[in-house]
Amino acid sequence: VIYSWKNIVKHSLPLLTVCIFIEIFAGQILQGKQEMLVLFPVFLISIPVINGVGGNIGSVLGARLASGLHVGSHPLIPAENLVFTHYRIKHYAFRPFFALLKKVSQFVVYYYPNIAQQQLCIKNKGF
Amino acid sequence: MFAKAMVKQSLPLFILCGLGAVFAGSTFAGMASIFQEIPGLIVVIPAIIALRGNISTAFGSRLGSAYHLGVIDAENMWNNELKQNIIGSLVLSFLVSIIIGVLVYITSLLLNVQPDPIKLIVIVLLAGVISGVILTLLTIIIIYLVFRRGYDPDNIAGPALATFGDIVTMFCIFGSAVLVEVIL
Repeated sequence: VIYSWKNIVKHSLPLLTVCIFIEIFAGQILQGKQEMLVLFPVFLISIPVINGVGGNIGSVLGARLASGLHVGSHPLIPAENLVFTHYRIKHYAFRPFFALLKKVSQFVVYYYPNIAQQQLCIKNKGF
Repeated sequence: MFAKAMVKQSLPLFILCGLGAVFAGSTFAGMASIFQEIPGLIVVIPAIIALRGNISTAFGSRLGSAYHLGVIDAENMWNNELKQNIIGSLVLSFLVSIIIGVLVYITSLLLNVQPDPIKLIVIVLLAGVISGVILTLLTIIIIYLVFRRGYDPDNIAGPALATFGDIVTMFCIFGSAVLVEVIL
């Protein structure tokens, strides 16, 4: 059994409490502007719509990333080995950043070879 | 998962979800007179919409992960994993509803609005638990249909649940506000 309800509650509740604090902050703003909102119901109608769009796209991305992490194939890089281990999940979570760093450095070296050479010279002197 | 298939599966649903959200907003606008009768009720709305969205999309996403891991399937739906998930989301809706009620009361007191604490907490608890039960059933139905059709549950479950959650929660809070207003 992967899931147990105690773990689900234990892991979700602290985060949800933080979320509730933020949402209640938003709600108090609505309360402060209540007269205006009742006067123009268009704003009342648009509140769930605007809330929904961000939530939908964000939750789809989050769900897909979570599935990718569980399966062991991070969707941002091609899967090499579909093994479900904690090591791989941690490793894969940071790998896109390193890949990006590598791409940026390759780009810099390709288009600005002078800078790269200077860096190399400094490095060599240092050693 | 390619970006093209992702957009193809998600976009029609997103447009439907936009219409659903407009519907939820119309219910919200129809409640305007109740907000003036019960001070502090409008503060609850964003919190309880977000609560439903968070809990049920997390539930759907967990089922999607279970599907990708091969733990759960259309033929093998009613197993222990699903039961644990159901219990977890129901317990979460109960606890979080109470937290919302208490926090809304405290913050309203700090901002010089005088809500009725028992009324507010009963409304939030009723709306949270009833919409929790309805949405859990709805999640199972949606996930079952998605499994049968062979779509990626991650693409479908999130937006569908968020939008249905908004509509169901708005109706639940409307109903429980009217009920509490009549009884108390």
